[in-house]
Amino acid sequence: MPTLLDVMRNFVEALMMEMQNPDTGIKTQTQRVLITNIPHAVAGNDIFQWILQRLQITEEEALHLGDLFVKYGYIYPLLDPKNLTLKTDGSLYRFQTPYFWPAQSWPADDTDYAIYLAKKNIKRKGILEEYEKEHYNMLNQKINYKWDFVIMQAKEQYKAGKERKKADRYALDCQERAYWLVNRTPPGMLDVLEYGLDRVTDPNEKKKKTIAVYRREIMYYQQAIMKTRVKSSVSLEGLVKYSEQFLSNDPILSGCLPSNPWITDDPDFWDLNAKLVEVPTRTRVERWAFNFNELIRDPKGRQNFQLFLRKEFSGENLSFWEACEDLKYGDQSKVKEKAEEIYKLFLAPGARRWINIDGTTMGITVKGLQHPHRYVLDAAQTHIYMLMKKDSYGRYLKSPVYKEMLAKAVVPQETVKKSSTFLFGRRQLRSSPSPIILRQQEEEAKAREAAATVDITQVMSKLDRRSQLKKEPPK
Amino acid sequence: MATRRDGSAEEFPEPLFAVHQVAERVEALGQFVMKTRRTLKGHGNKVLCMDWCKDKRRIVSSSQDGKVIVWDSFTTNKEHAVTMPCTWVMACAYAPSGCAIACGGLDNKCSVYPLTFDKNENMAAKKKSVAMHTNYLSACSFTNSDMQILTASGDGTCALWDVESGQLLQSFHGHGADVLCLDLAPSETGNTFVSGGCDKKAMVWDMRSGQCIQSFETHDSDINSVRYYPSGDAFASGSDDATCRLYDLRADREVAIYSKESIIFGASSVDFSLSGRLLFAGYNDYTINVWDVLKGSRVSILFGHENRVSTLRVSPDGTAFCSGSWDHTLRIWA
Repeated sequence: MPTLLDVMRNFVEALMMEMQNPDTGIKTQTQRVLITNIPHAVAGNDIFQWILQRLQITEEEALHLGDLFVKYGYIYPLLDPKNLTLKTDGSLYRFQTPYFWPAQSWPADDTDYAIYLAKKNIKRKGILEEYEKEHYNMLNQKINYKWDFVIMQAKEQYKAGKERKKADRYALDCQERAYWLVNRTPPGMLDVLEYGLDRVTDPNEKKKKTIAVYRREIMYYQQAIMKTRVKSSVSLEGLVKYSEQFLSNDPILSGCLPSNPWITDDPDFWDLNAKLVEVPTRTRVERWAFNFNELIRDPKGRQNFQLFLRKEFSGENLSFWEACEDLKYGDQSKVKEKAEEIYKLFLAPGARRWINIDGTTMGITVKGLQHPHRYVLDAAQTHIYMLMKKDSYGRYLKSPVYKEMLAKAVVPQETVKKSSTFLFGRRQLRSSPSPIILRQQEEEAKAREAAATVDITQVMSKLDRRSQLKKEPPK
Repeated sequence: MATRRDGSAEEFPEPLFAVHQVAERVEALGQFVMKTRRTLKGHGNKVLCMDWCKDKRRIVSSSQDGKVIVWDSFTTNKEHAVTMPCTWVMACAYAPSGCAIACGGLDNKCSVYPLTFDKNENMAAKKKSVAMHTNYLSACSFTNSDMQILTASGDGTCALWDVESGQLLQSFHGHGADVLCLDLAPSETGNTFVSGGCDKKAMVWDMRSGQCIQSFETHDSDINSVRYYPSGDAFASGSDDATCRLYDLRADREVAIYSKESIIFGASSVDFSLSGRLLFAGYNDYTINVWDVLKGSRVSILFGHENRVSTLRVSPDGTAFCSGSWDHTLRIWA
């Protein structure tokens, strides 16, 4: 939230002093304005070159940094005061006096501004700009009780100014004007000192800690001591490996096929990689082999994996995992209902899609289900996840199901962006269906599928029930 | 060798590595060119936040004057717009389904708006007030579904909410000042998130228990942005102290500092490229610096915005990133 940290401000201020060093600083010259000679002016280009040399940065950066120094009021332009930019030509600038340097702890005062405007007004009536007149009138109301003081100060300063040498007076006027341009920005100009919202809590303020805070800290440190840490050389190696593995998939670094839509205006890349596209791209299918997470997080990958699992008669594992995700991230009000359904379908003895978990986990889960909450199936879900990851995943990657998918996968041809021969600007860009519409379509498709699919066990149980009724004599 | 209280021997600690030392053998990146490919104009005031839709082209953005806009950033068409009853909408998020958005700011709340194309339906009419904090909302994010939202607030806490009922599911206490940012872990076991605040701390939380499981305090000022490395084993932070840093979660320490003498303004917003090799950071001096995460060096500096860069996110498929600025515009870079 602060605009410029004290540390940074010290750095800028030190640079300003360096720039004015007679030996290592910027060459100064005297500028003639009408019949006055203003000393210590520097050319914009010299400022730019000095920054470039001193900080060893690119030209663009040096220009940008120099420009910021002007915007923040450390350096001000002589001839075009309202244009707070750094021009790399012979345009002349002067260094602002340290008294007027921006300081977070010393914001520009309303009273000082009133005195400045009053002084300007005394110098030549009608010289105030529109926005300055508005400020002046507003201040007159706001600090009306001080107004005699304001006018008296303004007159004193004006008189003292008249007694100075013309060059000094001109310089002081420039400095003051520059200061107020930064601290009371005219409409339409960038207000650099705006910093957004104030913090609610001052982090430096020493707060008295409550018991709750200490309790939390104790718990934190206790578990922190027990925490196992990995050697940084090892964990960093992991970060590097991940980056290297995914480098070829990183469109910004390695491009993508057929092309990056943002660069060529061609959205084919997105169409070819749609959520449940008929034939996925080769890059996408190869990614499923990177790690289990990549496979399970891609809906198309899950679909293919489920195909494989069904062949091994362990399709219920993935379905169970999906049901647990739905429980964890779903509606709070449906937690109990969902947990019960999952139990009936996957965990109960003789359940239709019974999943194979060890006795201990089953015990914990069943106990937890007496008071269901969204994380009640975590243990079982982790167990099944690990089972799929350590066992099924490896076989899947070697299976015909995966290999076929890989063979079938599309390798799009690269499209090169045509040079802009379009006379009338960018060609018409294709819009895409809104997610709202897509979801509607998905739900309609699901409903149709549900209606068409007959659940055989439900039909069987209905038939059983009917035949049972027939056996019982009517009462 | 020293002996611990339990009698086990303590070896001398291994040297502390920084990531660039381990990455010495990694090939340097080639020439790097990124340009503004789209400029989105339509906000009448400072853009404060943005988020991508999972469809990789739509985005939601919010601004100081209370306007929240949903764009198809590929065509630059505006698809939905709503005006919040408060100013400084610092947080906005797109729901995973793409059918709703969440936002909040000085109203201390996080509200969910279902998106609709029905012209007769006023978007504000179906608005759901979900989160209630005692101070401004600084960040919000949906979890893996439209049903849960995680929020961060100026009141120093984070909280997890059930969207349908508005029920508080879990609250997270521990920051000593305003919390400014958060990010959910992408890891396979999920259930953790990281937050950053004005107390200079980045804290990692267990969503189930509400406890802080890891804490890092190496920045010199407010942490404005935190983002996980794509593998979930590390996260980056951007701070007012003009540096970005990388923290390794398994080694439990800071492993890189991204800074330069010539960068003197705070970093407001950070995000990784898809492979995690690049870190894009938006700064208060209107620029975006691109860092080589592994080598620790700066790869590129992007100019274009005319005021602070306040928000920056890489698209879900990593083809581009979007930056939002106080200059009222958003830019897509690729």
